[in-house]
Amino acid sequence: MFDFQRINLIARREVTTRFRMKAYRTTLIVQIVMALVAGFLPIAISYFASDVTGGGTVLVVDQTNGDFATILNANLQGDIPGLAALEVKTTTDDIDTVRKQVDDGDVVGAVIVTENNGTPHYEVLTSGGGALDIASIRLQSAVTASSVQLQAELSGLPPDEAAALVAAPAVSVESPEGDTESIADNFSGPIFAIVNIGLVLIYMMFIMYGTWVAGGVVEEKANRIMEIMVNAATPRDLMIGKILGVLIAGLCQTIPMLLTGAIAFTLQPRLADLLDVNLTSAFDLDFSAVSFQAVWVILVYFICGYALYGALFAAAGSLVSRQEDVNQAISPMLLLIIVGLMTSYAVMAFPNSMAAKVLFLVPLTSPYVALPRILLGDPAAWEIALSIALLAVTGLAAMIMAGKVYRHGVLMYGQKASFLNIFRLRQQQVAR
Amino acid sequence: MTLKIENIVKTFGSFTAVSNVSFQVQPGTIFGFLGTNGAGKTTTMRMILDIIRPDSGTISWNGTPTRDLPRANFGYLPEERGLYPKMQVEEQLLFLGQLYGASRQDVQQRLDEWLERLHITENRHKTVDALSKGNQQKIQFLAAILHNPEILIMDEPYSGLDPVNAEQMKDAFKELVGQGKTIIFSTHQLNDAQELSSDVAIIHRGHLLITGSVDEVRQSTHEHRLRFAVAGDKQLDWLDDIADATVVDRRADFAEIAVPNEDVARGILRIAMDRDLPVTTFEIDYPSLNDVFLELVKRMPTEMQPTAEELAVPL
Repeated sequence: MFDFQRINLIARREVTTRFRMKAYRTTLIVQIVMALVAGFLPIAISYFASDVTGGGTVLVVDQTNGDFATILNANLQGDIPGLAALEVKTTTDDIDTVRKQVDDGDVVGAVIVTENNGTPHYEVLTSGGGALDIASIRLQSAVTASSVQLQAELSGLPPDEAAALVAAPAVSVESPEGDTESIADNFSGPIFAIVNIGLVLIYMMFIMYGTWVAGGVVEEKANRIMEIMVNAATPRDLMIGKILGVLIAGLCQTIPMLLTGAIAFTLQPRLADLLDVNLTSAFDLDFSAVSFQAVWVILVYFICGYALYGALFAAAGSLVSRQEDVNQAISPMLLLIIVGLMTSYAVMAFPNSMAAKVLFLVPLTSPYVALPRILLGDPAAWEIALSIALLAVTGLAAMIMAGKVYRHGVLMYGQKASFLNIFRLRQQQVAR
Repeated sequence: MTLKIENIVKTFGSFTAVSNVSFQVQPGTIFGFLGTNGAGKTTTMRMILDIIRPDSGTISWNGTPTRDLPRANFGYLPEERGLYPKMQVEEQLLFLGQLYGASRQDVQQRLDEWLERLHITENRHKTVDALSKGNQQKIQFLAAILHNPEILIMDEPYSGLDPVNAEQMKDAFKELVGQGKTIIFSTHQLNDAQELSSDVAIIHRGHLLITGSVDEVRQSTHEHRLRFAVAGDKQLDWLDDIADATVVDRRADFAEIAVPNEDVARGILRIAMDRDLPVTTFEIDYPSLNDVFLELVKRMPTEMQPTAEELAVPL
């Protein structure tokens, strides 16, 4: 059915040609630089904006002689996930000294507790200064909760009940199908970040590689070498060779970018120690949270999905003769890819919902939806097997159908690209 | 070992590109495939190559349908030339030769020989877009032959070539035929067809007008052509008074006269001798392939007469 020697030859030519293109090499360098920047972004943020994300010391001057500092300290622990903890210290320094320490940035902030006719009054000072400063907001929120807790204790409520009074409630959301999931759980943590990065990568690769495939086909049509090529090899082999070659060339660009980013990312704790920066836990991506098995399964989805979209891009490219018409021809595929990405974000919120289960089986969306569904949800083994089988069969069918369109399309010059044309072409007898 | 094209029909929607065309090409010969623009030559050639398939009819080589033959059997020089402009000559030819199924070593060996033969060895490492148009044509030709095919299909091989390069190409054709290759080529250049081909087929609007050896085709109208010139008299007005003789072309060097047989031609010579005219050219020949084509379409219904556009590029 396929001539692997020819496919290999075509793919190799595609790869070497791409390697020699200045645009390819420039993009490779730009991507590596961008990956370095992105990889070192957490430490840069931590270093330059430590007041926003970092922890530090908060001084408490309590003129009421109560136990406010202990309660405040408890309410500041884990108040905002991802941000470093603020440590509370009681001080007996006078208010002006404390104010100076805050102004000088020696401490993140301070809370001055006074009493006026039996009513407590709290003054929050932060080195950022403004009421909307993150540290200030954290302190204001914790001071409010601590005040309520303290008043409740003073009113006779046992301390644990008073603490429960101000504790954040656990909120869960029920989907229409009855699945109970916590959106907060899915939208936080390392897996969420990995799913997000994965989705953006797949989106980027499908669009970039697809455009290369379509553009390459049009280029071969425009310089008329296609007529020799279709005589020397079957259109199907030509198309598969090109799709494969583009994938290899593309991965040779993407993998160095990913490796650079990953290395930069893993070097951060050491760099943080060197720079004496308190690295915020928001960037603590634990890649071991994703199993090897899941990585392989997702790779299968990527390969099958790329085969499907690559075939569609190649067929679309074969229907036009000029580079300026490529965008018009591939616009339906771009739309499909964007829809796939959008639906994946919906699935991320409810990875076990009925919608997620259906989209996981639809071949055009499953390459994307697989990421949140497998990593955040709980699909049965048969669901994964069925989903992959459907995607693989559709990918193969797309290759065969696109090969037929390609066969006619590559010899068609001057006609407009349209679905009607594709339909008409399919009516004709197809050779080889 | 014959290439047999039998009753092939190809339609595109309501347009019939090739209608019931049949002819045979003997192995080891050069076959001229002639016709005006849009006659169906390229479509027929593509069907021989199995790039497109006929709606009906068969095409076979030595009894085997061409669709079942390995690609390596065919070499193709398309009318619309095309190569990768930014790829080096050697790399490109090696790629295309291997794509047809030949081994890299064989292609490399033939590549070295042919680059030498066509005097373009120094261009081996240049990119195609850095070559002159003539040299690009030669590379295109090499792309069709380096995998050592049995059958060569050449669509307008001389178009765009200067006389020196065209001559080199003709020599290459003769050498390939000497090696036992079968060449089918289409051309608008009548002299080339007559000079090189042993057999021809003339096609018009998808219909085969005639096929056979060049001599058979030229004799098919049962006419003769007399090329006749007299020193000091280019007009030769007196020829108009001779029955059975029609001046079809008054050229600067001679007049071409249609005559039904050799006796009428000899009669014209006798008149000139009687008048003591200094005859400088007297040559009896058969009509050219172009004349045969025009004569054959003249006999067809009005709607089949060639338009000015079809004749824009003379046969």
